[in-house]
Amino acid sequence: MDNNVKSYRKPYVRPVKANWWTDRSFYIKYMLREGTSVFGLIVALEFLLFIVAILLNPIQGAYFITNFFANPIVILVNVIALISVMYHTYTWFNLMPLVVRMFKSKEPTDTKLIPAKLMVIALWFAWVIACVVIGLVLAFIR
Amino acid sequence: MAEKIMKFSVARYRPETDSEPHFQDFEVPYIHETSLLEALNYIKDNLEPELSFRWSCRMAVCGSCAMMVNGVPKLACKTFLRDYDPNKVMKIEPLANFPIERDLVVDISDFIEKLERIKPYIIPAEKDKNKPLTEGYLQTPQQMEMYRQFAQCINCGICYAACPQYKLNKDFIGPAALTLLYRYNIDSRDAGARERMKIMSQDEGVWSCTFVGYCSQVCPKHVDPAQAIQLGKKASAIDYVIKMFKPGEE
Repeated sequence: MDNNVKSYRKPYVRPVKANWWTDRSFYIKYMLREGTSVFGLIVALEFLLFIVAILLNPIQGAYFITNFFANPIVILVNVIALISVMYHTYTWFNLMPLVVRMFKSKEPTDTKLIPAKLMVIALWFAWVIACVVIGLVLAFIR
Repeated sequence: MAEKIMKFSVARYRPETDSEPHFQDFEVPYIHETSLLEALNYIKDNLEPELSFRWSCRMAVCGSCAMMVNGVPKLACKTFLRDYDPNKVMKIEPLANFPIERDLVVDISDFIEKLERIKPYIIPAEKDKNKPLTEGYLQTPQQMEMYRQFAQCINCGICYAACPQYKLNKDFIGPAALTLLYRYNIDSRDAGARERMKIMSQDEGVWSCTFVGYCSQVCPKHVDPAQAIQLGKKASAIDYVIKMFKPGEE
């Protein structure tokens, strides 16, 4: 091969901007989905605080917890956390069918997959049952 | 049918003279059936003979004409001007996340190298090594359906242009290569899963994916790379657990 031909190759690499995710609404929704998981962490930490306070001193702990959760700022944070976690759940339930790819039967000729919608409905059904069970348990404890 | 006019703003980059890309405007007459690829050919034939872009089959099979249309990665041959507002300008750029060679031509060799790495072909089992070519591999309709969707990939690179993880980390094996990796691993005729699993489970493999899911939105062949990668994560996790109980088995 004749290597005396001058090459004009000069590949241009486009710079990556820090705000790349604002380019498309799809990316914004993704960032929102990932961002709402922070509120999941806040709720988990609240639970931890609750358990530690009760374990350390049941009476003073319960008093502290009651005051803590009555604080308007904490109520506001919890309302935002509830909305965020619900949105997070909604997005993950919609993504779940992608992780499960199952045929309707094991018949070698069966090429029909279980529809994604059915899986999402089943997940919401399971969610409602879990809520009812937890509600009943809490009512029973009272 | 009366001809309409579409305005284009096409990215230009000539390495011998330009230090960075710039845009050039064109006006192209079109009818109901005009594709973006035809419009680019009109520009090349009538307005700017030096405009460079890749194309071959004109029917979404070869995967050569992938480019950014108003910021969305698309095949030019499968994009029709009738779907765009003639009162706005169509912005045409080279495929994102790849280095620009010239005008709308990008260098996808990084993707091709990754594609080769995952061994995208059937590796026969030891017992089938000397199988005569006249003998076929029997496969049930369900066994074929397992991978059929993922086998539709035409290696156009559109999913790489859509992937923020590939944008930020060029070591990531990426959507198409990981999809084809999964496609061959679940093929009942293949026995190369062990070799490919190493690539799948490494840091740059399926675990670099954060499930943005835009790859599956833009795929012109409805391959759904996001699904293949999540199924790959499941396979990788199961493989990890099995290895804990059966150490030493490669």
